[in-house]
Amino acid sequence: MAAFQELLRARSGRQVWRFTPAVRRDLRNGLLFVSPWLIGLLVFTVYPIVSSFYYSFTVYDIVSPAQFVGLTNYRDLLTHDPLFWITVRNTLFLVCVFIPASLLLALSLALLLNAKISGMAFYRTVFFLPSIVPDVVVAVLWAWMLNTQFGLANASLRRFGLPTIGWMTDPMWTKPSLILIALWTVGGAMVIFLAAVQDIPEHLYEAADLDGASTWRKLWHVTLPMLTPTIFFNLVLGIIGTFQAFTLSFVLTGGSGGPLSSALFYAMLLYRNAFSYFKMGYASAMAWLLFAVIFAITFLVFRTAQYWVYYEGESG
Amino acid sequence: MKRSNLSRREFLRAGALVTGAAALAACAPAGAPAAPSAAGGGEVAAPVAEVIHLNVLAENWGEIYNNLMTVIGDEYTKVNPNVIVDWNFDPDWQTKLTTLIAAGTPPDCNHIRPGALAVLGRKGALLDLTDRVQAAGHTRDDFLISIYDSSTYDGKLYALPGGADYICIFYSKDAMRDAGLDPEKPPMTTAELIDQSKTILTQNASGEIERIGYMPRPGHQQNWSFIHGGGYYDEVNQKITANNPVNVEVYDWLHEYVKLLDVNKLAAFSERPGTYEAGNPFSTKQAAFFFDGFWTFEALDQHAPDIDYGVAFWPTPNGTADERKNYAISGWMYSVPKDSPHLDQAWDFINFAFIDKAALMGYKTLNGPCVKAALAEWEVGLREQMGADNRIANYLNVFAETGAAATNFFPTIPVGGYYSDELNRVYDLVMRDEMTSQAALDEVTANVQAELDKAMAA
Repeated sequence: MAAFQELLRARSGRQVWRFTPAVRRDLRNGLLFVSPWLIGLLVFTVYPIVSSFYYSFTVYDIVSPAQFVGLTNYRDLLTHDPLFWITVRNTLFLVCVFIPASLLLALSLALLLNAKISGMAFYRTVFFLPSIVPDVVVAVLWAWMLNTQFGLANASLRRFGLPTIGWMTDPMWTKPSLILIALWTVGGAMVIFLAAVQDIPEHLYEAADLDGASTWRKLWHVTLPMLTPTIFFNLVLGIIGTFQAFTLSFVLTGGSGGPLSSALFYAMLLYRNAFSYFKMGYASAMAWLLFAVIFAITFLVFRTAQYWVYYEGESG
Repeated sequence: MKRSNLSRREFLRAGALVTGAAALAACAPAGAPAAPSAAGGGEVAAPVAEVIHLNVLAENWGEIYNNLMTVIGDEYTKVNPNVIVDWNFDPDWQTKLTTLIAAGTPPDCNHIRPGALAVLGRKGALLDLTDRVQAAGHTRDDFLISIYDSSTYDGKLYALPGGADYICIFYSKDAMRDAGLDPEKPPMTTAELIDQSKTILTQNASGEIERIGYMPRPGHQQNWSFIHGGGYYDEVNQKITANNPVNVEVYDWLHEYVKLLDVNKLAAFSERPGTYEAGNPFSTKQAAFFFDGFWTFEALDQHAPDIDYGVAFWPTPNGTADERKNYAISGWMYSVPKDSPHLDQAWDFINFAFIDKAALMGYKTLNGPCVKAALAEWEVGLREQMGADNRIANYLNVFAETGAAATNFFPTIPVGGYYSDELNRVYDLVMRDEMTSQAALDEVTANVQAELDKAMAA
């Protein structure tokens, strides 16, 4: 700390960057200590990001040098690729339906699991367990559950005399089916909500009780406002994760994208181009477009946060 | 209190030295032979032949089949004691291969398929094996033509044919009996296949399929096209011919059959995890006809030991032996990257595994050999291995003859993967009445040609 203060003093002085030998030594040692992380960041994160940006303007098949083609990859994506807009539509459907549904479900479960009844630890474990099941296992398990002709879901519908559903075989039902499966694993978000719910000061509810607030009023005027930072956090993570949806659909449809490409998502098309077709430049362009969209939407969410996210302790 | 004599500067120097030494050690080639040590009394030991570790990148087929594959490596080491074959099984071998080649550290030899072969061969990343095969006294006619030709790009043989997928029709004699058909007369012609399938088909009151004859799958359409005289590529003019009139007719023909079944009911029936697992509709006695390779016998032995089945040739328009030359078969190969550290030994190994010992490799690993002369020995070996009383034992010749007769193959072009995906995409559109066969195949032709032109220009 003393060295750092000395460094600051040196910086704030008239002759900036005139370090004493001791400061230089400490700086060098400090950099040496953080160098493993720094080198890792530069080599494994910064370099791939920068190079993928360059490759997005090239034709690149890995084994031969990249050829610069300007904006061709971006133009082809937007104007020539018959699957591009299909995957964009599919992915946006997932984002627009799955994120609100998952937030609502995770929050509802967290509120239920905050009730003071016996055996709560068991219930919490039960609801959290699916979220630690690997995605591939989830997909295989649900492939059987939702099998149109032999699955448990349709067997149950038949039992009640209801019409069966072509969960993964009818183009209309593939995306809702995937959303249903993904909702089974909201345990992670649920636990974050649960922690936030338990963190709400009890005195706020006591004050509301004194004012005669109903349960609904307390939920709307105390619980939800206090949970807005957590909703914001889960929303941002949900946006980033859902735009990159891949594993469930890839496993359930064997990589084909299901009937009429109805379960072909953006990340799957990107993977195909990169690793099946050797079109690394094209896939890089897809990755950067995806990044731009995720960045723009996340940025918008951040900009709107000041209007709906309440941080305890902040004035105003 | 006396302080340590090691100054900070010395400590940092020593640390850097140790780290550098460790890094250098890590970069040393694995398996480098140990230097001959001096025997006691200062006597120098007799020079030991250099031990070579051949690094083989293979497709991961699961532990059982991977272990069987290593048998070939062990056999090679018996003959060449100074060469040890190190197998590296990877399900994503294609990504690994390309990155290893790009990094300048390719394996000595590797599993490969036509799409990757065209890309890597065209870019000069693979060794041209044409002269070596000729020098070893082999010609194109010694191999299964389909696999040999699909191992070739621009007139150069970039890989040695390894395993062939001879696909035939498994027919359930039980289902045929139940449907009132003669169980000893499987369909020989395409018309018989459809007629018998119509007889076998049973559906419940809701229209759900309970028993099916022929169950079309994406990918079959290409075989049907070849069998009817169609094709997908004009190699001379480098033109995509997906909209070949025969292909269009075949799509229409399949569309008509799928319409009879109802595309959604068919999808519901055929959508099951694990083709070789207990849910296989042939194993569950819900499908009378099933197109697959001989290796299916293992799954059938395990999951359907009581089914009475036979194997027949893939039906053709007229059911004649002469038409079998139109069969298209696919398979896998082994190539040698041009920068392989052990070019000659790698070639020698794949020559041993897939030519000299092709039959052994085939029956040990449940693959179809690609050398015609090995087919008879392969049949004998496989029959001994599975037991002469196995239900498939008397039909092995059907697979061998299919492989030997076939001459067609899906084109080995740099956009082969894309082409195949496009055909499957529009197949679905046609079967679901979203497009006509002609429009769909015109679209594929245009899309793939555009990609091919770009690939050729790069």
